[in-house]
Amino acid sequence: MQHASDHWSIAILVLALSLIILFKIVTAQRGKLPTIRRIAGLNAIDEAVGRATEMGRPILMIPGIGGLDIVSLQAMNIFGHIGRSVAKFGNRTIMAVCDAILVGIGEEVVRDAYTSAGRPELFDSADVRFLSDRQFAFASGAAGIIEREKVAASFLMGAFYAEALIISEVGQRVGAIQVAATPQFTQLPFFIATCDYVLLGDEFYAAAAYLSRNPTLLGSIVGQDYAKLLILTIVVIGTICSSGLALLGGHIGPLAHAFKWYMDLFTS
Amino acid sequence: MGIFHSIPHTNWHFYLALALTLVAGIAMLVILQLLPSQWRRPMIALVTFLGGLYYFAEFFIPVPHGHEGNFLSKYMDSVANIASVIGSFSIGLGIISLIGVHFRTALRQREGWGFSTVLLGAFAAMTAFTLLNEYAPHRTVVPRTGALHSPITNGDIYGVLFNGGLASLDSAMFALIGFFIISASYRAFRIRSVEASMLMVSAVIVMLGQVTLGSWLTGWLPRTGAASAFRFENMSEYILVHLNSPAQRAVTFGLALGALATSLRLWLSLERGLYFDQEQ
Repeated sequence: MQHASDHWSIAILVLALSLIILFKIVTAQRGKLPTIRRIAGLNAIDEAVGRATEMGRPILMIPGIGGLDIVSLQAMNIFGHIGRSVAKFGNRTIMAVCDAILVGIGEEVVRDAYTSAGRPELFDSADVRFLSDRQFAFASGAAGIIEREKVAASFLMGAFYAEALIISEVGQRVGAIQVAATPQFTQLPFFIATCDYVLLGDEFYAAAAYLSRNPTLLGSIVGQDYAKLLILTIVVIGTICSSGLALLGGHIGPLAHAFKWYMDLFTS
Repeated sequence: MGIFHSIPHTNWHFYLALALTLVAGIAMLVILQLLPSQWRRPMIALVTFLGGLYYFAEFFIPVPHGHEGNFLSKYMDSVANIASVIGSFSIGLGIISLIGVHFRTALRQREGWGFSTVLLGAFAAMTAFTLLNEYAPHRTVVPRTGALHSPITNGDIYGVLFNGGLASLDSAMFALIGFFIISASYRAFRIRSVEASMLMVSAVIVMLGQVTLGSWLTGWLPRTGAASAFRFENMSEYILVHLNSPAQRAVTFGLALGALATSLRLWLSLERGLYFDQEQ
């Protein structure tokens, strides 16, 4: 088990990053709204939803195959906003989940989307489906839904592993517009090859803020950017110290001690 | 939960404790459902905060010298078990959702009703034989001769269904990736833009750098000196170590901060309107 006392400098850094994010959230909640850049993949969502409505075909959402964790909850958060766009057009949303715990959350998210769009009668709890908690049984079930329902758009957001290519390739074959986002590096190439748009890295976490313009989420995004700036500063100073130590060679002096002290602060 | 560890599973006390936990859990869920929505949200926020506070305090409270953890560390397993027990209630929801969808499809003979019937049959068979395998294993033994008896099937019907059926089907699905990779690669490597061309060139260099053919193609170049940089294995290593790794680390920083921010918002219930109602 890891504890703060194992490495206080890292723990203090985590606290500082948390405080920066919280400060920006509170500032945004008090009305100081930041502006964030456009994300191409998210602009495609409205296009995908509109096309699905024109074609009269449903939209599929898959929050990955992870359990109830931050990644799945973030995916649900994004799906809530996409669901509102879908509900506004009176279209059908299908959600396939791999973890039974997510069934309840998924139902709540989709129901809330239809209710907030003023179309609660369109919500069908049978469209939030638990397929299986086994990876390839889930992939088989999701591929089956894509084939049978001929989904017009597919949103794959969350933790994906080897099943990513199976699901997205089947979506590609039925001609669905596909938008994917995952924190798993290993699956990004497959999504880039098969999907129309892919949200990279922290765009996954920025998506909900961009879609909702919710002050809390916007503040959080700006807080993350300031936190990144702090990390970048630490990395740049670390690079200078590391290069300085290499240039000094074996020379022991106050400068070398200072460089070493700084590097030890962030070395486990 | 932790208390069950001390009770032998054959003892009736174990089953009593199990039943009481189940009743208490269901009672809590019923109470939560009966609560007015304006009370439900603060209650969930409080439980979430207390759960997060435990992990926060356990991490930040200093560990006494010579110990493996602080005074909160010994409850780590119990807290994790409580989370597992709460989560296990939702498995019922998943099963209800699964059976409901396929039962309706089979009953109304909608498109694909045959698959739904197979699923329901497989579900019933796996449940029955898993329970029998656990509590009456002698009743599920398959004859020692015939196709069903093999080292893979373990000599019982549960083994036939699980190892012979489910695991084989899993492998078959996994094998599909091989075919899909070919068509996906074809699309990815089509040169449509500058970025796609760069992807194509770097992918070819990395692939050649990993195989004997690459070493053979540039094997005539010297192993040392400036020209050695153009050997495929060296170019491949340069792309992976000096271009790919820093980019991945930069993305990792972003992802970690995103996860930290989302955790903070959930822990402190800052994100009103996420699952329960709209932000005011």
